[in-house]
Amino acid sequence: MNKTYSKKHFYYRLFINIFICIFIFFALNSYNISEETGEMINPDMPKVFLLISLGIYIVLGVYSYLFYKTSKYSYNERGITCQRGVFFKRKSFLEYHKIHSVNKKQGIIQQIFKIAYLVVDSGSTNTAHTAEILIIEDGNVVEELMKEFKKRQNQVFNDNVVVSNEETPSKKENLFKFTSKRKILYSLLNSLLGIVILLILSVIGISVCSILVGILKTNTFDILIVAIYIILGAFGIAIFTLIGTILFSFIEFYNYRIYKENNTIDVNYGLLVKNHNNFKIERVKGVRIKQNIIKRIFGFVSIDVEVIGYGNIDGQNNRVTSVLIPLCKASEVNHYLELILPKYIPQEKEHRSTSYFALYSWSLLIPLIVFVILGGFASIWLIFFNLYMPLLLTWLGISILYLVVTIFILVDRRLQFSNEGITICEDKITLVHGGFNKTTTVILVKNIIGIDERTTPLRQKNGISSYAIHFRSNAMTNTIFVDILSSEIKDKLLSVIKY
Amino acid sequence: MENKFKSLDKKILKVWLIVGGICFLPFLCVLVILALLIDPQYLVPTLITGILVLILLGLLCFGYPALKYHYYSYYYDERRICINKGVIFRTKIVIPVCQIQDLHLYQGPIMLILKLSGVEISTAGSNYVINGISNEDASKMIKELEEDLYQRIKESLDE
Repeated sequence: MNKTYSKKHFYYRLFINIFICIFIFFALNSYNISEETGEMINPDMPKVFLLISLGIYIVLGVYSYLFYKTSKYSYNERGITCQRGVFFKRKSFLEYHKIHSVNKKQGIIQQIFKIAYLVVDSGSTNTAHTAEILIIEDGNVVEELMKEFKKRQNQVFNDNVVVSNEETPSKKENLFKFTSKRKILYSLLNSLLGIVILLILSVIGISVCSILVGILKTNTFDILIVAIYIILGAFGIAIFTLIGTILFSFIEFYNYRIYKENNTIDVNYGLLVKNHNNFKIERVKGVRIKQNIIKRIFGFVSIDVEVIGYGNIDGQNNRVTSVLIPLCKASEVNHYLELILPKYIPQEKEHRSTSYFALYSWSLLIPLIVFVILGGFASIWLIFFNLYMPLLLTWLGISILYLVVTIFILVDRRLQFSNEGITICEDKITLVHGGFNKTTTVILVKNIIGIDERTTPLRQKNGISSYAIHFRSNAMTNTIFVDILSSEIKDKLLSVIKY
Repeated sequence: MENKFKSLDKKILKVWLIVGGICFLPFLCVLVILALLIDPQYLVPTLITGILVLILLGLLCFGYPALKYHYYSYYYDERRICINKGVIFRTKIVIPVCQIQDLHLYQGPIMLILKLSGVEISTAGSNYVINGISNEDASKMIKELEEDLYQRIKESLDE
């Protein structure tokens, strides 16, 4: 029998639409305010904008009602069917044995309206960034549906396990305690890198100002004022970032719990947006152990898990983030993986990078070519108009910029040279990649779907290649790179692929 | 195995050169219009900059396809598909046949006229394209890969 989504979602959308329309009203009205006087240009326009906003609210309201009326779901002994879409209808059917993850999401306003989103994903990486099955129901109905789907999934897997009817996960053992102390440390480590970069940029800014004093013979006092503003601004941003990151980590990872029952992992966390993620261990495609330069200095890592369908899209980097352990000591990695995912314990590096020069050569050459071309075009114009001082400043600026880029690249590649490596076993591969941001990825050999060998004519002569390993995962994160290894590794890699 | 690698159909070079020309033409038009409309005092540096840009673009649109064609080759058998491509950064791709999820045949408008096809191989996460083989070769490739894939699935089920 087909069920519609919860009507409370319609009321929730009506509530959200109010704020959208208020925003539109003020956005439109801002064009009616004179920049010079700060007063309204046309006093009748706010009425027009109000009518437009009301019109938009009615349209959005009608759309929300149609969405509520046309969205349906049902489930039977074979799988789940979901139909949604007002103008572009989409009907999805997902069999239980193809389910990779079942996730529940509930934002703060959704909690007030007592609704939740149930997202069910399959192993299809082409739709990994959208929900294949999306059910919007009352919060308690979503919990019941999660248990029901888990039970039916277990029946299909023939686990012969009776799924517990207990509601509270607290009766199971929590495998990871994300304490307040660790959350503060997590925030400090995440914001420290940004603060360091800010300091470096401030020093560069002040240095440029000092050079300008000498070259342009500008008033020293004016330059000093600019330098003070730069320092105060940087300090203000640093404090704001730190406070914001601490608040974020407490809210985002509120009540973080990991449970393992039979062959299923449950990850629950969140205050404003409650996340309840559930996936089978067999559906895990890989584990990533991430460590930026700051975390490496203090000996900490974070662990992510690759499961198709599990994770949130990180808008900045366009990657799917799927956290398992937000922060732990590097020495604790094996302990936690032994508890949660024992097959994914990383091995020690067997094959390392073979050439530091090969790592940085192209990284330095390409920016050099770009800067020379841009500088050349600028020079044509400056020479033609006999502007020799600006010509000198242009090339000085380009040189300084290239020097900064060079230092950054050389340091990053040096770190990469010491980090990069691969270990190939019969059942799994451990890859280590990255300079400032080091990532150790463990994937099972059975999940490898393709291997690319990348080289240049000169590298080929010296027996050097880079490799890209494609494995089953979300479409945005399914390739791991490992650079500048011996070409002999290719045969070893090809020998472990399942044909 | 190296001897069995096949090159793309020569007609694909025409396609790439036509596409290159389509990309090159707007820039040429912009330069001509600028030269006609710009203030005479800026004409010489504009022309010099424009000609240099056109030379770089010309190398990219007309020179690069020729090299790309020269270094592109592919091979397939019942177990794997291998693709060699790239001019400066040369890539060798190996795809096990058992990992193929979908096979697609597609033709753009220019390829349709020149009776060429592209074969898109979808695996669980990545897509690979062999672009520029004759219609007969493309159909034969898809048919053989489908049979090989069916055989591999049958073997793995028997195991």
